[in-house]
Amino acid sequence: MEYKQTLNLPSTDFPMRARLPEREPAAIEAWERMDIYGRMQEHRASAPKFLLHDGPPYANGAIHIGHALNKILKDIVLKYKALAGFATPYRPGWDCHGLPIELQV
Amino acid sequence: MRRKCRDYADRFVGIQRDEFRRLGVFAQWDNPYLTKDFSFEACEARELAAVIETGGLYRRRKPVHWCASCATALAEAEVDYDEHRSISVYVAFPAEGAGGALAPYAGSKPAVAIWTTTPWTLPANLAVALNPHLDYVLVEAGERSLLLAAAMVEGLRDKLGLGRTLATFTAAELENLELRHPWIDRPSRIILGDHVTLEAGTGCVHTAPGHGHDDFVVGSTYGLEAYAPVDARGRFSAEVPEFEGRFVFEADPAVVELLAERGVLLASEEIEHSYPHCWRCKKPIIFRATEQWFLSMEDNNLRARALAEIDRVQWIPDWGRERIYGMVKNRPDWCLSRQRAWGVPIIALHCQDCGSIESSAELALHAAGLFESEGADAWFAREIAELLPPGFSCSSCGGVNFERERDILDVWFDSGVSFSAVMESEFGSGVISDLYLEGSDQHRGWFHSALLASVATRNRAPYKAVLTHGFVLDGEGRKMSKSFGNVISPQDIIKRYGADILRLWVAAQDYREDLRISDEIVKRLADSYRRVRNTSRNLLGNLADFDPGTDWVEFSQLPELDRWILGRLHDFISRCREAYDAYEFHLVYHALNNFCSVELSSLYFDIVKDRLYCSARDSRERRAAQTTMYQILQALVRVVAPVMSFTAEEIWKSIPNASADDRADSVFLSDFPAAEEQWLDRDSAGRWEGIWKLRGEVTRALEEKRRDGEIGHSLDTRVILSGSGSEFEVLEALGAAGLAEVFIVSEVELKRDDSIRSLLVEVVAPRGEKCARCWIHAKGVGSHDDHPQLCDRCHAVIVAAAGTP
Ligand SMILES: [Zn+2]
Ligand SMILES: [Zn+2]
Ligand SMILES: [Zn+2]
Repeated sequence: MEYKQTLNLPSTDFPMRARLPEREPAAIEAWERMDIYGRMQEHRASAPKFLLHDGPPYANGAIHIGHALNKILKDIVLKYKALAGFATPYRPGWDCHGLPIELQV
Repeated sequence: MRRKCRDYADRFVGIQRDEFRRLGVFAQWDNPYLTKDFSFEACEARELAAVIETGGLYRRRKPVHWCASCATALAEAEVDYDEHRSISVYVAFPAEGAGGALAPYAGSKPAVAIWTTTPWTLPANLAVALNPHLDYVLVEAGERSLLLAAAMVEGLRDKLGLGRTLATFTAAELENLELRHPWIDRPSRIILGDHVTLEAGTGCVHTAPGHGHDDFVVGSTYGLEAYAPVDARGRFSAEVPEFEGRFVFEADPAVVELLAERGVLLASEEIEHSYPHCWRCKKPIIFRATEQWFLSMEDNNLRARALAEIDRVQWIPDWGRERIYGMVKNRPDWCLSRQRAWGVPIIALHCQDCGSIESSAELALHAAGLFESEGADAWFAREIAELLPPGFSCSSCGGVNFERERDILDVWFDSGVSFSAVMESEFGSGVISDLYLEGSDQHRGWFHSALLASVATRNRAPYKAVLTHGFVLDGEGRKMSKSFGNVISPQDIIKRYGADILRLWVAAQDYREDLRISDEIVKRLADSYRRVRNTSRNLLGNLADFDPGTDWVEFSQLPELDRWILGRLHDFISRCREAYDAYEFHLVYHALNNFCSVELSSLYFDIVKDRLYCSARDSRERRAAQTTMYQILQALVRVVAPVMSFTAEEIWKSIPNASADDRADSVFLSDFPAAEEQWLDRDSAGRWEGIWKLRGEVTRALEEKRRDGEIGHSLDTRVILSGSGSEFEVLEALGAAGLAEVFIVSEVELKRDDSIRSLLVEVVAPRGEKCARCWIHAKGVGSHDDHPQLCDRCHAVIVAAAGTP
């Protein structure tokens, strides 16, 4: 008898290899399909609010690592606050006036 | 032009929005606020009206970068620095009648020595600035004596013919003493300013508030006028009859000549230095005071009220309070106007009949109404008559012929009033944001402008807390720059590793300082990521056949080991909650790393493997381990969700048989884990500390045997522990079988021996044969005819399994 067959070995479809660059876009699509942001607000509709006001980055060029750092920090705060029981409405903003744009145009 | 600016901004809002979404950031992406939205521009006009209502807005002259050949003001971004040849001069400002600290030395004909590279600004001189923290000396110099910074004397001794030092003064002793202008019949005076350095010159700085920014700032604290007797073409006006009509740069030699004639030229030389030039015509530019709009810091006590509000805000990290407090305390009035095209106008009208300027809340509110439907473009596109409220006329002369003001508002006023345009519009007029979170440069920028705009009109800060982060440097701590080739883009990291690795990097850094990133740092984070991923996979895999509804084991029924790890889980959850509450995400990262690699991987998982794999599927001890692991997984996935959002969601969706409470569609619709009070057992935690220490000793002993080739697997041993006292009682409480499980050996024997004070560890050969299924050596192996290779436990499991259909 092959006793190894009788062991309760772990089994899961959760893959060892993350392959994040390939999988993440699908996850974003799924979140958007389910309207995760809207669902979270609905879920905490009667909860106390935690209001983070987004400082508007300048609408010029692609994002750099500093933009990513800033928006991810904000996202960590808000997701934690949502899990901790707060309503976390969050409206992102952009600064659109000013000289750099005027000069580009 | 304004149309094109709108389109350009729209294009980049679209690009950046997609990039932010790719980071896994949740937000109202389909409803962002833009400072160019009509509703925003209208709200900004209403905020301007509110500012006007307070009486704090005024118009005054202030120096700006000015290109004399283009006849226009330039913004900082339109100025290029280039080499330029100038005549520099050392000039004596007579101080014979100064009195004060200089009175005893009047007989030595004292004069203050200054140095300047722009002699043409001397006609506009109103003061000489000293550094308040430096010492100054009066030194003999031929016929007269010269005052200069003590530290500069030696370097200038030959050039200025300096002799004996007559006296030493602190700068404060000299403040406000009256000097004479070197040739014009007008006083100049000694003032103090931190901008004065010892880099060059005498430590005494010629100050013309109409021709220099620092001069203006320091001058305004002494109430000095921004005097600039130069026209838009850079020519001296009639106020300077000796040079009237001459272009300023061409007047330089004449100024030097005049100084020599008057006997106040101490020295002169040509120098080459970096100097601002116009980006369009490439000509050297000047600083020239022109009319600008300001928000007064003193009217209505704005400065004092803003300072008081700063102390009601939580600043994270706390040095942010010092920084913004110092800035608000020392800043000049806020220059709100820009001579540009793309922005929200300063709503004011110039009376064509009497020349007065009309700015009123009524006027601004009328414009706001137009902006609501057409945007701020209306100010420039509409007929002037349409900008006038019904019945509007000049308050000075009653006239109705107006021209519109062409200046626009500082972009910092745009973003500064977002608390009104965005937050109050949505949440009501009393709302104060819980948090503003930006880079630490925003103490000067957004936090500052928002504070002033809000305190000016609402008498309170627009935020309860302000969190700042540092800047991102490369792996060696250098600034990233294209020319250096050390730029790491978020797009690259996402393409190579994924957004969750970037997110983990953000959490792992102590963002209060500047942050570093490099390939190596990212690779290290990818390693920690894999540890968390493997830990999660291990938990998921062992829960495949666990149904919390039917298989749950109550806490009181759990083995000691499981109760211990739940105690650790309690600690992990509490630490992480505290760290999140304090915005110290790097502590979450460290707690996570520790919990996954030490407590879970190298201790708990290793030990429960036997129970999970070898015990009967439905046995109490296996269900106990699964109950424990279920709770660990549920906590872990929720704790990491704010950081590793993609992976947490992936784990969440892979949890088999989640209980009804744990079955939300997304981990983000669940709750942060509660650390259950019953998991806390301080006595047990203390006992386990001793056991883990002993386990370390046993492992070392086994390691030695393995190195010597005496044993293969740790299960090929029996461990004898001899000792006495309370330490030994702890071992007896857990029992020999429990200890064998923890040490992962076949058998433990406990020998109470009062002659041994400390504990004695012996590793010997096991008793019994090795079970073919679980590898434990046990006496039962060989005693079962149907399965002679199995131990009693494994035999029972196999027989029972065969018996169930
Ligand atoms: Zn020019
Ligand atoms: Zn008038
Ligand atoms: Zn066995």
